[in-house]
Amino acid sequence: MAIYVLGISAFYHDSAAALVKDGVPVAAAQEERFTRVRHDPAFPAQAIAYCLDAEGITLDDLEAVVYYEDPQEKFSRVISSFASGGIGGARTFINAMPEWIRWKWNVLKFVDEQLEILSRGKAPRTQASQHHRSHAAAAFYPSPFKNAAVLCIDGIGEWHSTTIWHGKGSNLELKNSISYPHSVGLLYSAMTYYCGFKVDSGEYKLMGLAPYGQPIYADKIRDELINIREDGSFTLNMKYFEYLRGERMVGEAFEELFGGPIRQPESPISQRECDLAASIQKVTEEVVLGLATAAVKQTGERNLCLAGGVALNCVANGVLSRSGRFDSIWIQPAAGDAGCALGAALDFAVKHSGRPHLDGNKSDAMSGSLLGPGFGDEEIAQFLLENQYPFTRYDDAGLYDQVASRLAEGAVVGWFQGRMEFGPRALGARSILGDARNPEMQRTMNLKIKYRESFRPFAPAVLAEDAGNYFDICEKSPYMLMVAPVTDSIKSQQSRQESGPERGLGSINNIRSQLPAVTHVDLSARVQTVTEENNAPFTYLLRSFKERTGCSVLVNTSFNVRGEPIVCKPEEAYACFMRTEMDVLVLGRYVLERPGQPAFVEAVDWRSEIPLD
Amino acid sequence: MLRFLAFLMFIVVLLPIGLTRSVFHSSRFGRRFHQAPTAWDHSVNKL
Repeated sequence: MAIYVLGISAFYHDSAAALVKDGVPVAAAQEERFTRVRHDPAFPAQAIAYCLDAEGITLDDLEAVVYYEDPQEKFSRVISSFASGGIGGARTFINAMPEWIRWKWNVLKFVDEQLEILSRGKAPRTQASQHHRSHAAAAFYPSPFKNAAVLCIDGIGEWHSTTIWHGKGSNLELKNSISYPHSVGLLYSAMTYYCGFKVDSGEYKLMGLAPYGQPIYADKIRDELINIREDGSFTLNMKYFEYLRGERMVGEAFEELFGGPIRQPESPISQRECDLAASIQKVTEEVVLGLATAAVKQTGERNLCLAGGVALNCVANGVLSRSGRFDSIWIQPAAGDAGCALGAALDFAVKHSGRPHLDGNKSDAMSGSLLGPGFGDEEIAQFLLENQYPFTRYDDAGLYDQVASRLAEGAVVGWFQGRMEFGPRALGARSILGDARNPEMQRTMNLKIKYRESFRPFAPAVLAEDAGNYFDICEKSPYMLMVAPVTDSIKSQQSRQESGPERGLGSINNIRSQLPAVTHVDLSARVQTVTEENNAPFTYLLRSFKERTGCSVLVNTSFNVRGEPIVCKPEEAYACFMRTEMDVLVLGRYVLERPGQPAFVEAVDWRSEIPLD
Repeated sequence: MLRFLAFLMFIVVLLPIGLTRSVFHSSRFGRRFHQAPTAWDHSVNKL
């Protein structure tokens, strides 16, 4: 009989559930995709229900339920933090404590009660893992490596902010750690906050902003904020940070250090924010490289697995990849806290079932990270017919040819195929696609489709076998977690000059390469390498586009508008299609063109319902 | 009631701990730790 283990992460941000069957992830999803609340921290009731339904089981069939962190250890850290925060943290402490005393202290009991409310059978009593152990398990167990160094870097777990593990077969051994309040994730978040973006979601905006700036504040950061040691460890100078008191990340001391106030959210972005972003990015890359080097030294392994929120910093990942210090790098696609649900389940499951994917010829155990809900042709047809939305149905070959043809004509296509991705990136299951060669595509997508800040770059999806023709990439990047420079051969003439391309904020729409829509101002791109194993329909589409145009690269961005979780169901995809200026929607084998669609009337303006991220 | 308990806890327990830490620089939150030769929780040499 199959051994099923359910993992749960919840009550901070990005709640999620994951189901592992005989050591293999079979279903996983973030709660936000069901509730439509971005980064939803609530108990992941719908994600759990989905996981059970995906395998046709009930809670009775579970061998174990594992919660992703240890609430008591977390509580001790919270108390200790407030103790060191001084009188300034009193109000936040008094407001926060009742919730801790009522249920957070004993969150496992609360989880048991919530599972009972689901009325899907009797679950085993929930047990706790540890935050960084969950990250490490999510990073190592599904990886292609039998043995590896495992590095987890995030904001904060219970106490640990950074851990090094030695992954050996079906075991994970903690080798070393750096603990709260010293955290490179919190340092990055502090600068995110200072630059006027939201903590825990705006970090990737700061990363996107960095190439527009010069790292002129990097020395100040090294001198004042962080002490980086030769052994890879680091500490933060706590006199500049206010997160101990729980209310805000930084305050007057930070403002004084950088000579200006915290930027107001949504106010115009200046060159100063770009330079701050470039500076913190540079220092982060140095820290991450030092930590990864320490991980290799302390474990004796040259294969590296990464997880934790900082592992989503694909620019730093690219630096690691190009450093030559590692034989190979594998990064958990759900590297943030959502992935802890998977790690918590895997940590239990692997002890009983081992790591079956290592015996086969799969590149990893993540199934392309396509672990979310899928919708069959019948369900999609029913939705379209019920609502009388005009469509054309194609067979397989016809579908790819038709969509490739529309993309080549310059259309922006909503691409909804198969099971939804687990993790923050759209990987060709819930994606908006466009022609990367089109110089207007970046502007069109930012302003007419995503309604987001114009400085934000788009990522390319490329056939894995052709990636080297366009990008100087050292290894596969199936989960869009590596940034690589574009090759000289596709750079524009100006980009090839010694002075390089213009990099100021106003230069976003300059043509820097033959793939202007995905070439960032520093001539880099956040690459997704696509294979048939990871995502067959997307591979066929890219091949079809290549046959038609000679180019095997498409712009791939998530199927949502700014502030909205990525779409999950066909009706959400249709709503997003109609709310934006997308030209074509592909739902499975059904193709919908914008002209001819009935007027899309909503009772409430969606812009007022979706808060900006 | 819980808020009052939290207030008492803050005054009676947390503040004295915080004061002790800041006077003696005796915790990982203090300046001395920031200047220590390593920040690893376990000595690297012993590994």
